Amino acid sequence: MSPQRVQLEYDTVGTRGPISRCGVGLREPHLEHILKTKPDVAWFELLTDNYLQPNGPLWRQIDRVRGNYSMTFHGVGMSLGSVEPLDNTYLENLGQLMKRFEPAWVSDHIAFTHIGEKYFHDLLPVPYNDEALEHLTQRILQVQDSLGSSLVVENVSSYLQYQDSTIAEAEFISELLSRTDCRLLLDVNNVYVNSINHGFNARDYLANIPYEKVVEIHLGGYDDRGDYLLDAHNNMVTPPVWQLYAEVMQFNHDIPTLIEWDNDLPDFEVLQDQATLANDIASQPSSILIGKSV
Amino acid sequence: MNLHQCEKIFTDALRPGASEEVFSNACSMLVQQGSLPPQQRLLIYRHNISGGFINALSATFVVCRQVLGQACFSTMARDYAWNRVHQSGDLNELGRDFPDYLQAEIDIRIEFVDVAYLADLARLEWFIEQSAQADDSGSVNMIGVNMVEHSETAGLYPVMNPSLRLLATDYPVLEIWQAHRQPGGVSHIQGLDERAYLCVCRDRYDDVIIKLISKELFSFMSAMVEGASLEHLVSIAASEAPQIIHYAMQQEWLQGFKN
Repeated sequence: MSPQRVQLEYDTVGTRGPISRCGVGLREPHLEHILKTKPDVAWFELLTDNYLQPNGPLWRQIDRVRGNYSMTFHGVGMSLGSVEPLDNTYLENLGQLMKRFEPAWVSDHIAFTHIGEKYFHDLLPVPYNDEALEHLTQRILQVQDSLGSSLVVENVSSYLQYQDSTIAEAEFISELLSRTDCRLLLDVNNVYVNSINHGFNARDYLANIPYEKVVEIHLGGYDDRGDYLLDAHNNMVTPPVWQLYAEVMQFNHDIPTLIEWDNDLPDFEVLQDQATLANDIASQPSSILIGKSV
Repeated sequence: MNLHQCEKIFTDALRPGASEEVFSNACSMLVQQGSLPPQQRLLIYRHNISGGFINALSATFVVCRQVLGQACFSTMARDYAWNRVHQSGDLNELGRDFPDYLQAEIDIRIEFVDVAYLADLARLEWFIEQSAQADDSGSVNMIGVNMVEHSETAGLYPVMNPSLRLLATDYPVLEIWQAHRQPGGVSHIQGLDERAYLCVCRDRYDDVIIKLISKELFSFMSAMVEGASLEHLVSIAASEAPQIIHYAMQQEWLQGFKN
């Protein structure tokens, strides 16, 4: 932590528009650059778990970003799949954050992050079966009631599959969306990572997604560990993921997309370049649909 | 197997040092896939979780990590986080008990004899982070110090700057912290001749300021932080109370008083 001096005056000229095209994940090391240069980025996604402490300098910085950009919220702490009661303090803090910054939507993951008093701060997979489906349905409905808005849920990357899983992941998600009326954040990189880690065809998975309910796509880079792909968010988006993205966007040009990068963070311009590439592909997906060898 | 059992068996196996029985129980509920056996798949999660813990604590305890070295710090951070009693879904709270954990380790491990100051250094780093992020939305119905009548002092209580933190230490942790944050490395660390008192607080420009203060001021400030009434504060500092209160206001450590 290095305390930084920030100006107290707020930006007053807003250019906030609807969430469209490709945005970038807002990361603390880039804040100063963003505030100083006001880069040409369609929108930002805020990692809510880093901003749950109300007011203070962090909120003031986000205020200044929000003055110029549209914003969505993305979290990892709801633990929707956990069998433990929902964390009301977490939801209250998130509610405060939403009230202050008015995001276009709030997303979290189809996963659990704690059991008992143990918090793992990592996205752990649930089995895809009827019990988990019903459990997640009730949890999402509770969260939507608590926050007073629809929730957006994201498919996670995973490294194992349970024997108790009886429903294909894409069908599980589709049914969950149908039962809760929530929306989907489709992480195309996660689909590709899982297809390699679990040996399924990514295109079959993507063919079963109800695109009318997809409000956002995530793109990120994985780390090839030889025996498996690690969803590390530490790299450029890879060619096979771009290929899948182009195939999705061929029929869904207007799904907002986000470049996610968390580790080994490069200069902001690198993320901007990735966003530009995503915009180019989204507007002309056929330009890279040269083969189907993903 | 129900969902609760599934999550429990899975997460029990993630803990470092889980018994072979616990680990193999978890493996038996996983699908055998490709060339990567279930054991390896579980270890990916264990490693990811430990990495997340270490990264979070490294971001807060920057100087402690430099003092211990990455390998030693990572081991301690991992052991602390996995075994921590008080848990929270807020990752920013992960480091709250880390200084106490370091203190307990220092007390029992001979190899830490040269870094006996480490727990206090960690406390300072934790306070700096807490101070930097503290809520400053302000208190309602506050009475400015110039509005206070002597006759009212019994029912008035101080409203402190929410970012204020106080630390008393037997070690020169401020010097150690500064030395590690400046280019040119660390000079030889000597013990203090007497106890040092530090005040950590964020100023109006959002800079966190650390001040070395006197024992008397520290005692007075501690009483204020603990919620002593103005009447009590006046009684412990006698004729110097107005001067100390004025100084604390000037430094923005004290914001005013409330009923």
